[in-house]
Amino acid sequence: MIRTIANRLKWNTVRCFTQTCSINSDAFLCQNATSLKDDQLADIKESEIKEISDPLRFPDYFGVRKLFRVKDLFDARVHYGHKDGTLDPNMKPYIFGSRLGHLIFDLDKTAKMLQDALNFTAHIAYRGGIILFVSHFPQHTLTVENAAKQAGEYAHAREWDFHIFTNSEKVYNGVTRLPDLVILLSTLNPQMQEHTAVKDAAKMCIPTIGIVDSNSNPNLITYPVPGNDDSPAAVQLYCNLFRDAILLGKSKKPVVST
Amino acid sequence: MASSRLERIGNIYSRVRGLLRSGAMKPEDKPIWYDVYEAFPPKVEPQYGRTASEITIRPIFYPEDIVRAKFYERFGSPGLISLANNEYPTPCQKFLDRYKEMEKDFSDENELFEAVVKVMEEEKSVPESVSSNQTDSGTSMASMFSSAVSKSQTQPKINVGDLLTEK
Amino acid sequence: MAVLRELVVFPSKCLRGVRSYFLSAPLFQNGFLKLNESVSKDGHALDLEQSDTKKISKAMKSYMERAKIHDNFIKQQLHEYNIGKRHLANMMGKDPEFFTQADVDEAIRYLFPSGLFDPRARPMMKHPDEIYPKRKAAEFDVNGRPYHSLFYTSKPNYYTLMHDLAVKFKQLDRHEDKIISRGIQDQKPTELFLFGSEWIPKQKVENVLLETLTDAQYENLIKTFERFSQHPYSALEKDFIMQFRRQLAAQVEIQQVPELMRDESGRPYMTYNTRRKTSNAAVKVIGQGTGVISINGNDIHFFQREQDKKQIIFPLQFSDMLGKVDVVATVDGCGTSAQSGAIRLGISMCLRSFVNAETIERMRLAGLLSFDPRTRERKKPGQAGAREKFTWKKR
Repeated sequence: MIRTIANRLKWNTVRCFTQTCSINSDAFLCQNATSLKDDQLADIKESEIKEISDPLRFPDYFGVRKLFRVKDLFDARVHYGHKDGTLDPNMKPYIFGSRLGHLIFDLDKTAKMLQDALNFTAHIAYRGGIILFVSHFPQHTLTVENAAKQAGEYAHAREWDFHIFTNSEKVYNGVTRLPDLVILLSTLNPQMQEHTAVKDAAKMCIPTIGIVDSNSNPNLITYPVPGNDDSPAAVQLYCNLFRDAILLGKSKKPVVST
Repeated sequence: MASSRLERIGNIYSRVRGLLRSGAMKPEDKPIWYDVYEAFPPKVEPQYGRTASEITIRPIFYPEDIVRAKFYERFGSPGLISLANNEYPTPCQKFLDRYKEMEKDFSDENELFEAVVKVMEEEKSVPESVSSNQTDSGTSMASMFSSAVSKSQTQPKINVGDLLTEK
Repeated sequence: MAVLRELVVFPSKCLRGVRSYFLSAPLFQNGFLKLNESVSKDGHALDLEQSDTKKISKAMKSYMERAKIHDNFIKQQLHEYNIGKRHLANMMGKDPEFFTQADVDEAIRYLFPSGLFDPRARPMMKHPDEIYPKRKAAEFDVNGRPYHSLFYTSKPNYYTLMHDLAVKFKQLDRHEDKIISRGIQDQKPTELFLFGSEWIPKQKVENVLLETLTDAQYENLIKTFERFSQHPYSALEKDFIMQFRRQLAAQVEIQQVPELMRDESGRPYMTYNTRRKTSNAAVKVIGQGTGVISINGNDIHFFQREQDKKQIIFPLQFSDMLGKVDVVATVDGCGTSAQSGAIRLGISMCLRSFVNAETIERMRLAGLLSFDPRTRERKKPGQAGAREKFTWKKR
């Protein structure tokens, strides 16, 4: 008897979570709990409750997979890399091939890695993490800053001061909370060298998501996403995807009563 | 709160894990991303000195490229092509579609090619042939040169001898 | 009961909200479970306290400490200021209740006279808010999340301004596209009139933005503004642009030309007092005249030198008023050159009221309306004169 009730409880909650995963499902849990007596509840261990309601247990809790298709990447020209001569050796696994000297990314791999990156972003947003969009190309500044504003997060699409992460107390005149995730829309600066944020985030134990083009080094980036970082269409697509992932993550967040 | 700034040793996860295990970082100071990273680790571990794989980049060629090459050799480049516009096929694309249709009727490639050219020229779907005035079909450079030569031959030449003779 | 307590206490941070929801859920409100009885009050209360302090991030904590120290300091200063004001009032024999800041300044000037040149070096007593600069309010909330989206650029206000400029640029472009598409591009847009004003200097920009800028950043801002104001439709954003421009002082001065006065016989006249070196001149130019010149009761031959006479006549000749106005001047002090120079300036300043704006501008460009500030340079010790040095001997 006890076992079936417990199983019914589990089945109900799992069904809830796979459908909506919202605050209502917590209510469902409560309502089911009211119908049970103390001794029956004793069977449901604390760990099981945690297991049911923990978003980390689900491969795609926020549904980021639905945000894009491979065709969207193709239309936004994400698959265009630079020329053969500028290829970084570490990017070789992600290149589909070279079309008359122009490198083409394998969009299947890109799609998979982009999904991982979006999923990570959504989870960080769910936990109230500070997300910083970084880019150094003046062409994309407006796009990046707008996306960050719409997502309710932060952007730094301007000239990078070397001490922002490593000497933050001096730069911001006091103790500041550093970002919990850095999303790089381009891992190079206008001098075609690696952006300081990549190294500094790795130093300060901040995970990074970076759009790595064929001439960038993905080694220090936690979740690299191989793709084109120069076309405005591609950058607009990335900004929209990350913004949507963040908003999805925040929408699932339960309201914290202060 | 302890931290480790050594970006070239391990990765952020291994360093934070080490700090937590050793007790230098307290469990309540655990970063937000730690659990998420544990649940969804990246497919390739970020490592500073990761050696690049010995993959050779394969060139991308399609069977249609042979036909394309022949087409451009014969007709030259149409000038500007808008890559963003997918509605209107270029002359080369139209040629390829017709080539595919007529492929089953012919066994020899050259014959098929000439046949398709003939059909397209009748429909006026292709630009004027670049090497139509030539007897020998050489490389595109050679054909351009010979076309330039033929053009200069039609222009009136100035005979220096005539200038000096009395009239 | 024990198990339900475990249900309530979720150690993981991300489920903090869930815990609070549980507390308000019908499970407990129905009285099905009396929480206070089942769980030790202290244990539960302690948990909440820990969570509350955990909520406040380290950044916020340190900010609050600094803010507290600053507030206490300002309070102390304000207290001392008020007491000082009352003391001063008593000293001056005034009513302490109605002692204003102007009274304070007057009292200090009287009681602590200072011969120091710079006003900022003299003793002063002002309200602490005027002396100590305003601090930027907390830029982040309880959790340490900054309020401003561009906080991590360390110059959010400056970069917001640049962002707004870019956005407005795009809006103007779209406006232009709309007009072209409607086919009314012949309609000439109203031009933005920027003559007579200049871009505000770097210091003013820093005061507006409450941030320090590098020279390169200021230059970049001005270049962006220049480019923006060159857009054909920039007149639509005139108010925004004018916020960062200031009027040039010269424009304002020129407009204040005094009106002509009338004497008993109805003739218009203008007076002006001037000086040059240590001589003073009082000049009166009377209209509807015949060119009579009187200096200290004498005619123009008061000055014996050709050069002095020419100085007097030059403004009249330049503005074509040579035989049309009378000049009456009194002058004293210094030498002939200075006296003639003073009278020349006096005549020019009076003539402004008789003459049109174009001629005034020409006179200004000719240098007739500029006061000559040159005075005799003092002799310095160790030198023979102001600039002359003693003989230099090599050995």
